[in-house]
Order: sequence, then structure tokens, then C-alpha cells
Amino acid sequence: MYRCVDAVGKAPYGHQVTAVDPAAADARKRVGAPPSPSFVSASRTPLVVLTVVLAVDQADRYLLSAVFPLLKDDFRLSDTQLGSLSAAFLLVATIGSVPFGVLVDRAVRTRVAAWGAALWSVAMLATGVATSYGALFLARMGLGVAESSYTPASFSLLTDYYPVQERSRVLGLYQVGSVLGFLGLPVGGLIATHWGWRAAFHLYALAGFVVAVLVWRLPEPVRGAADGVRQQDADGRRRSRFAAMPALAAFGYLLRIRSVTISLLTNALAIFFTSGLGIWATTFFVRYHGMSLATATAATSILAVGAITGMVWGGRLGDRLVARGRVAGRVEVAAAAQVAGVLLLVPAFAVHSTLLMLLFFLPGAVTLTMPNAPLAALRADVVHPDLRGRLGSVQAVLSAAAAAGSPLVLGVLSDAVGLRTALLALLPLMGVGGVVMAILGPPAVEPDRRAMQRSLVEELP
Amino acid sequence: MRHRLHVLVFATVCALGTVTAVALAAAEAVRTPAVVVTVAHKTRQGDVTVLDVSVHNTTAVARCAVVRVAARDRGGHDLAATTAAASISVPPHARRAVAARITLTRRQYAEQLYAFVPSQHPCPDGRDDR
Repeated sequence: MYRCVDAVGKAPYGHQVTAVDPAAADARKRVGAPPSPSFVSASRTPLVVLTVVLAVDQADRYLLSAVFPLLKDDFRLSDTQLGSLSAAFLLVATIGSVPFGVLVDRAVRTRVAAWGAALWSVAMLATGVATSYGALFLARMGLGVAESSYTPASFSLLTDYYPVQERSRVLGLYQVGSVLGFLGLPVGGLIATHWGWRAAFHLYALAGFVVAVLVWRLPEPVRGAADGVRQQDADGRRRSRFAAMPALAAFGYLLRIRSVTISLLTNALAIFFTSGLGIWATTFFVRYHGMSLATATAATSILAVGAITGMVWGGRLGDRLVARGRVAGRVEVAAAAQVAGVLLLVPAFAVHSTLLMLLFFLPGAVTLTMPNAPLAALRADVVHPDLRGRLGSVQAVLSAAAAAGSPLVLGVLSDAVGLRTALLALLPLMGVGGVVMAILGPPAVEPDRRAMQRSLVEELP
Repeated sequence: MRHRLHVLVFATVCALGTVTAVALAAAEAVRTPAVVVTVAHKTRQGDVTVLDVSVHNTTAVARCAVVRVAARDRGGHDLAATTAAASISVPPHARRAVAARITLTRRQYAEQLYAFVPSQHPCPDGRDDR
């Protein structure tokens, strides 16, 4: 049974308000479904909660590396066994996001995210009580499966909680959670030092259960509420042709949307470089600027400060350009950031003066994460709301694939020609991605966005 | 009805999980290891670092331990490791010191070395009195 959720959609990126049919609201109440907002949310609560959950999610991932030395001694592990724990976790978490993307598009997303958080907390508890390498490995796999539910669910939710014209800014603020999660590393190390590594896993599990309850209590927004006209059945689930589309067909459909493919592939080049830099930056500071390991680690934190600034301002700039009538503003910001990143980081890697290097490095670091939020928002703009869970999966898989190989490639190149030359050799890839994005991206945005709008209207009863 | 059951199951999982997490963390925090090893002092002489490792028996019975020290990088990988004591007996509530020597390259000192990490295990021949 379908209930129509009437809505008024203005200009493509204009102000949109979605009103809920009272009959639909009554039906939802009868079946006990979570309340649906009667308009696109103005409250910051969902954004804050989902950002905090992301921080906990990331902190849980990083905790293992914080306690590596202690695990190694307790279980008498080899480096290979230790490394395989992280590698297998990443593999499971990446592959797992594909089925969860499908589930997110068909089920109540707040429930998927809440159960995900509760189950990954159970996996954290299991890690804390593991008495053998096998048990530890299984617990980490469980964590990988449960955590893979979160990226598709949170992405889909955020695109519906907030208006289209704020989408890029909201996604930028949300992504700050991933950097905040890094704080979990020193905090976890501190807990492990004082109370033991098992206590660290148990306390992080506690945080997970708390955020699971917070997500459960969030209202489930109407799918596409921010995009205009929607209809839904009584329990808040969508049954459009996209929601029911088989997984392979859906992923194929997504990759045929030019704005999606162009933005994913060109940005993958930036992700490839940034991931490698994250691993090798400390070594670069030590090797070429004579810093001690402690000073170099502190200097690397510039990357984190720059990452947060880039996420926030990239999002804001994307929205601002769109508000000024530049329909392709989001892709333009991302392309410009990737090109500017090359221009700033080439001198940062090439100069011998440490002061000059840092002066170039800080703004360069800002540009590294600047494209993420505008591009995520752009992809949401051109993809039907019932496909955004699967879009989240595609983004997660491609980002992981781009990030996976770069530390190794940089390492091999560094051995062959030196780290400085290796960084300077790979950096232009990011610029090439930016230039291709600037040429091919803008012409694709408007037709893709219109196609998405048409698909929304076609579903009107 | 189905929704209520769903809520009930979720609430139960979260409540039980919370209680278990607090209890396990508290139990772990108050638990004191039987033998605690710490690096008391370290001196570098060229490529060699000499470490004084303190072995503390926190229990009321004599313990025997194998003491090992590793030089680790930030990723938790061992750059070098050595057995400081293949078997050391420590009387109840007493401390003993052992020395360990670790050799690293200059590049490892400069770029990779994160910490010297001591560890201990009970003696394999059963002389541990637990």
C-alpha cells in the first residue's frame, strides 16, 4: 500500500519543503514505524549524532594499531599475523558495504545503522575477551562486517535530512568525524597502557552501544525529502523501480551516470596520492628536514588540521557556488582544489628550507580533502534517493581500492629513486584528475541532475 | 507487536552490552599482572642501545620469567629483538634488573624506531609457581 507524501519542489537547488500526508503519518504510527519528519530537518541533531558515530566507528578501526605492541606480546604474533588482522578487516569492511548498500536502499536506514553500531560493539567486546589469534581474527572480521553497514546508511540519511542547497556543507562537517576518529588512537593507547589493551576494547564497545541507541532514536527521514516529490508506503520503505532493482543492475546503472563515474575516477587519483602521503609524510620530514621522530609526528598533524579545514571549507564553497547559480559549482570546487593541491605541494616537497616547506604544506594539506564533500554531494544530487545506499557502497569500494595500493607504490618508488622524487612523481596524478574533472565534469552535471529529477516526477501516482 | 519485539531485542542487546562492557573494563583495570617488566634506563653507544630492564614480581609467590625486548616501529613491527633473560627467578614482591643490548642501523634510529618494548612470559620449564 502506497501513501503519497506530497511535496513542493522549487528550482533545482532552490528551497524545498516536503509535507507528509496525515494519513501516511497515521499509518506509520499504527505499524510502529519511526516518526518521519514533516519537513526537511533544520535540526543539527542528526548531523551531530551521525558525525559522532562516524568518529566512534573510525576510532574502533584504529584502536587495533594503537595496541599492536601489546597484542604482539600477549599472543606472540609475527608481523605477518599482525598485518593480516588489519588487511583482512579492511577487505571485509570494504566488500561488506556492497550488500549493506542494497539493504540500506530497502530498509529503515536508522535501524540498519543502529544495529550496525550495536553489532560492531559486540565485536569489540569479543576482541577484548579473545584468548587466541583465531578468536581475535574472527572478532575483527565481525567488526568489519558490522562497520560496513554504516557508510551507506549515514550517507543516504544525510542526503535526506538536510536541504539540497546545504548538502555539500553538511557532508563536509560529517566527514570531520573520520579525522576525529584518529584521536581514538592516542586515547586507546593511553587506556591500554594504564588498564590493559582488553580494557581499551571494552570501553570503546561501551561508546558503541551508547551511539547505537542515539542512532536508533533518530527519526527516519522520508526518502528524497530534500529532493522534492516523494511517495512512500506506510512503514517508510521505498518500493520504486530503483529500490527493487537487482544489485548488479543497480551498480551498472550508477556507473552509467557520467557525473558519478567522472567524479569517482578523477577523485580516486587524489585519494591515491593522499593515502600514500598520510603514511610517508613523517618519514619525509625526518629524512629531508632533519626532524626528530617526535617533531615529525607533530608536523604530520598539520595534515589532520589541514584535512579538517579542507573538509569544512570544501563543503561550504561548493554550496556557495551553487547558491550563486553555478550548477556545476561543486565539481568546479573539487577540480580547482586538486589542481591547487599540485601547485602548493610541488614547492612543499621540492624546497630545502623547513619553514618554506611548512608554509606550502599547510594550505596544500587543506586542498587534499577539499574535493570530498562537494563531490559526494554532487553524486547525491544526480542519483535517485532510492539508490544512494548503493552509491555509498560504490564510493566506499572505490576509495578503499584507490587508497590500498599507494603506500606500497610510494615505498617501491622511494627505494628506487628516493622519497622526495617519488612524491613529486606521483603528485601530478592528482592534478591530471583535477584537469579531467574540470573539462568533463561540468557539462555532465546539468543533464544528469535533470534526469534524476525526471525519474522522481515519473513516480508520481 | 513486531515493532515492539524489535525494540525489545535491540534494547536488550544494548543494555546487556553496556553492562558487560563496564564490568569487563573494570575487571581488567583492577587486575594487576603477576610480573611487570619496564625499561628503567637506556644508553645508546653508536648503533647499540643498552637497556636496563626492571622485572617486578607483584605476587606473594616466587615467579620465573623469560624477558624479551624488542625495538618497534610505529606500525608495531619489530626492527630488532633480543632475549634479555632466558630464565630469571624473582622472589615474592621483589624487583630484579636485567640488561639487554639491541643493535639498529642509523637509518632505523632516525626514521623508524618508535619504542623499546619489554615483554615477559612464564618460564617454559614450569618453574613458574602459579
